[in-house]
Amino acid sequence: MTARIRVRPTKTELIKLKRRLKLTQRVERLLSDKLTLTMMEFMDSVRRAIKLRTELHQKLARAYEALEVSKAMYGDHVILTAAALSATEAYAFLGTRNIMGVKVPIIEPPKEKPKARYPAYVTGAAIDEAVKEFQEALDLILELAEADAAVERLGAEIKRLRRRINMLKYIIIPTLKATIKEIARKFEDREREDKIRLKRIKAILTQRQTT
Amino acid sequence: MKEPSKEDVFLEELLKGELRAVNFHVPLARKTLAQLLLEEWPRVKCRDGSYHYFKRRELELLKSIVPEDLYDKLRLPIIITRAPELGEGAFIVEGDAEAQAVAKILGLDYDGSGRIVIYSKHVRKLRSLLPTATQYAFSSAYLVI
Repeated sequence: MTARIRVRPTKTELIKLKRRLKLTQRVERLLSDKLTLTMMEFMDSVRRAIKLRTELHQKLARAYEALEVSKAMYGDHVILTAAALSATEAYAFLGTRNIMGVKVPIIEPPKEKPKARYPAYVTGAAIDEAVKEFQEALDLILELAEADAAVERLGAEIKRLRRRINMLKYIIIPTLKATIKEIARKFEDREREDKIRLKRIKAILTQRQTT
Repeated sequence: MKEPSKEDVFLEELLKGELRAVNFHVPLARKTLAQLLLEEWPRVKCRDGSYHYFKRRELELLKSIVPEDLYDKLRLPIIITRAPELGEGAFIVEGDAEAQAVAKILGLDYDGSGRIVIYSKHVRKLRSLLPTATQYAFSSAYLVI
């Protein structure tokens, strides 16, 4: 049985409850639309994350392959020294964007890519390719981090919206409707009783007049 | 049967709060494309006090798409308003420059009325191209009680 709110069965209470039901239905509609849009954004972010992850895997596979070739040509020690010499800092910009109240990070890659500085005798297509692929992978890693964060935050928002919509749809709206129905039924009962009472009085009065 | 408890009162306030807060993420004041292109980290302040940053590549994309005379008129982010009064899946983009830009990006006809009505599939395309240069909003039709 649906729960009911205990209120006095008066016209004022009925009007109040009807207004409350209208407000609840409006919020439910708004949240449902918000959920649809959030789901759309979430699915787009998931697709983007999958695409970026695949691209990143391919790029890193190519980069490591080229690195292995370089290691075979110059030896581990030379490549490790070149890597140590090339170690540099790069700064990415971290900001936020707002998707219907959900703050999602945006990461702008460094304007200037970190330059590899390896000794002059380390040359060849393999090392150049490895450097190029790793540099491009850096941009993809940042983009992927952005997409992953969006998926996580939008997912949490979807959970919150679903919980709220379910509460409105399956608890609050049915409770309000049941209470309104019960008050309306009480009014009908009262009206019927009044009619019967009037009929009875009329009958008694006519009986008295005849006697 | 139960008394209208504190929880009921709280819930009603919560519902009203949800309606009030629905457009808190919309910017306080939008900036034109020309203004944003001059900023090092282009951003606008939202009603909730947070900042909404733009990706430079989106601004560059818009710069390459819209005619030069719109750089000073196109206010960003472009607000895509969900309009339930127009039916399921309908959205409005208001503003002459904004509607022109959207029509050009989506390959639609623009009648010069100062607004353009678009649908879910258009919104998806627009959002995938310009995730930071566009933002959602909810029409006041939701807020009338």
